[in-house]
Amino acid sequence: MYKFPEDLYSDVRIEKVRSTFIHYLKGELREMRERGTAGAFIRVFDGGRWYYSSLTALDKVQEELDRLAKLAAPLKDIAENKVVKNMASGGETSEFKGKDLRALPLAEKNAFLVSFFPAVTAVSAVTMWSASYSDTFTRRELYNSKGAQLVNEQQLCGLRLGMTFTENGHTFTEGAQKAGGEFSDLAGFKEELDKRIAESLAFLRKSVRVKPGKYTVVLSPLAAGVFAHESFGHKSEADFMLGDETMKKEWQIGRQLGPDFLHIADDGARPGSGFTPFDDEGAPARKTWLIKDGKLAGRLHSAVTAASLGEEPTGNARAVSFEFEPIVRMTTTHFEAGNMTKEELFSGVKDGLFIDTIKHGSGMSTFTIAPSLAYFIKDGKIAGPAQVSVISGSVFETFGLIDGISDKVELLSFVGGGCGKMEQHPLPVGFGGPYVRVRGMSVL
Amino acid sequence: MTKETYTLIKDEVSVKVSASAPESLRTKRIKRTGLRIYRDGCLGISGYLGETGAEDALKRAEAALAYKIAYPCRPSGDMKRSLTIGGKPFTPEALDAEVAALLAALRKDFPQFVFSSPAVKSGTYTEALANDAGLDLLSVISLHEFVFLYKLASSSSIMDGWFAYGGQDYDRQVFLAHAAETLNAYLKEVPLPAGGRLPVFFEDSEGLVKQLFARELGGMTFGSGGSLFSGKAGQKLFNDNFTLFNSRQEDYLPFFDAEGVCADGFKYIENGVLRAPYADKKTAAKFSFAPSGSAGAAYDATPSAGADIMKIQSQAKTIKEMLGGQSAVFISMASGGDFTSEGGFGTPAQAAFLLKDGKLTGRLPQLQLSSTVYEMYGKDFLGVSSDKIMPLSNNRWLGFVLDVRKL
Repeated sequence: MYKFPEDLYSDVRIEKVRSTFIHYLKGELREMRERGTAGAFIRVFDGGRWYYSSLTALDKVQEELDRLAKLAAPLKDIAENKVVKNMASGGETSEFKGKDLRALPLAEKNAFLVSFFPAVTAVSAVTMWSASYSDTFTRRELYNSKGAQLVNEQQLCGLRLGMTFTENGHTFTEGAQKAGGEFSDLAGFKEELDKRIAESLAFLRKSVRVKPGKYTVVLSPLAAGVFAHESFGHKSEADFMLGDETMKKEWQIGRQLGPDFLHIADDGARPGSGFTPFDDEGAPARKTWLIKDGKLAGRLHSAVTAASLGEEPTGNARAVSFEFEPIVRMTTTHFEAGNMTKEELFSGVKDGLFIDTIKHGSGMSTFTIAPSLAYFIKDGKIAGPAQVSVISGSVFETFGLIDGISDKVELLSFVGGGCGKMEQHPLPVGFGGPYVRVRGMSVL
Repeated sequence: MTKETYTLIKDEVSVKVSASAPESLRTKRIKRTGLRIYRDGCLGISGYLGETGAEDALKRAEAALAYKIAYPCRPSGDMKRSLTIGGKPFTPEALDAEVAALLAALRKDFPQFVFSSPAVKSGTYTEALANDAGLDLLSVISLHEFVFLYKLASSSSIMDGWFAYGGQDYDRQVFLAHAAETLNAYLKEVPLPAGGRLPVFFEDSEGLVKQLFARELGGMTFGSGGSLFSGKAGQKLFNDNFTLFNSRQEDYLPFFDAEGVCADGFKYIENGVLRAPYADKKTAAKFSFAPSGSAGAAYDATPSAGADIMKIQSQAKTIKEMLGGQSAVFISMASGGDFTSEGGFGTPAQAAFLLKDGKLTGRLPQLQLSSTVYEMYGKDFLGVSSDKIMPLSNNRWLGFVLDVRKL
């Protein structure tokens, strides 16, 4: 065990990762590797400043802890500091209890991936494609000067296929993917792949560029999830509010943002790519309502931001790897079920767009989503594929423009990408939701 | 059989800033080593972190040959070169003090703003590639990366914009002058010039306006016929003044790529004529392209070509000469835009400035920009300036005529 320096708060996070990555380009094997890494991130806090170090030599952790302590200014009553009070104490273990993919032979994982190739090679319009399988088993141990000894194990696996379709001088790039905590979560991928190929071929052959303007837009669970994540989730991360009186006023709990049937939550206890039973400061996962009944209901915290704003830690202090300090991040962020069926949602659109899949999204005061598969809606019916560069809007204004949310929630997991914030990318997160209808969205 | 070692060392110190004050000081020393074995046209790779583990990694690399990852090319060899560039990085204490001094100056001169930074960094980045075929390459680059986000204290945005620089030299006064130009311009709201179609400038490092080339000039996609540009090599597609090339050293990257190919200056597009895609050695061999010297790899991964080092050739004119007394728009922050599969371009611009005589003179409203790749890099291409945006970095002004509307 470590000897933590006196009159300072300090913690040591040991991260051990075992991962598999198999990658093919156009059916040709490019990568097949199993990787095992270990590293440590050390933090020392003196009540004013933080001192960090990351290293791979685990036998040097104590030495590094002592070096950081010399940079800090010891404080006799550090235990009374509000930030330190928010830090975990005691011991708890969240072990992975499913089928451990470290024990599954590489050849079986490869054969599983290769089994999907015929679905792609059978389509002559697919001129370029890639396929990958990945899995990651992560064990994080957290030790701190308050006596905490926490262990958290997680597993994530998934498949991705990317395809470029070409015909008559036109090209279109799409993909299909499926991810989850266990191999069994990947069942049903073939059906999803076949469906995506058919949709992509139709898009390649029939899509028409949309005329820029304002449209009523229906967002799929994927697009709605990105919208919730980018447009609102990032602004709910409380580190953006530190020392910022304007933001604190703007984000006053109880402020009406949208209709009564609008609810958004972040929940680290949900299985999938955002699963975070304990965060990297040891705070347990919980469901945090960000919007409830259309009103601002909460925000996401680390120990520092919770102390600063006089609220409770929410289990959202996460680091992308042992190289970085935990910062406030989302876990699984999603709209909750709403006020009408999917059919009712579409039938209320006379002339609009349906955003099915997306290429990427971003969010600040103005959020953006770059759609991939998108469709015109005419008189409540899908009316052909639409080429859309980007949809965008002001975050707060857009919530007021939501006039329908469907009644079923679909949560999604991902591999091979994730959320980026500051220098930390990609962090696994989950999102999704119901179908969401927004009036007057700006479309390019 | 050829054995090869690929070593990456990151030795870095960084300061994080929150609410206009230093929040944390971080030091990092991470060494990653990859071991590659080339045998019978195949490649086996493994790796390890830290100082120990070479013997085991070598065994794993040998075992990985059984995966039959084809590598039908000769590993690079018979070349010995080392290059150390950049001065001494900041020590942790010195960087901490420098950030404190910068923040003191910014708080005094611009009390209207709140400043933050994910990381003000200074470090030494070492990359080495050596094998028993006579290859021995070493690059040691010291670099400073200063990024500051700003927002008006009265703003309800997470941030309103940023000023930054990445380079090998540092001068506090020059950096503060750059910050002052940006912040003074931000404080002065000005209307969007009339016209709809306007000259619009970006930093030439802006990936958004080049991302179509990153997507469509990948060797595998290009060679397989899946690119917007497939089959068009040798054709004049763009403006005479548009040359797109591989620039490693000006972008502070090692002089060799992850396969030991040295091809700084490799041209993808030359004077508007499409020349070649970017390709690693394996892809190049498959389609009879030339390797572009742009392969990247994680320490324990197969090298594959990347597009992050595409640069547009600068012209003889300065920004002042390019503008010729005309006002223009400078886009400081444009997040979320993209090109469609057919080459249509659209993006919101969250932070835009009015540009006069090469200086930022006022803040424009948030904008929407649109065009197509053939227009932007064809008749509407204005080029890249000869002069730098700020003296400490290598970034220059990159201009197009675009359709511009208020968001």
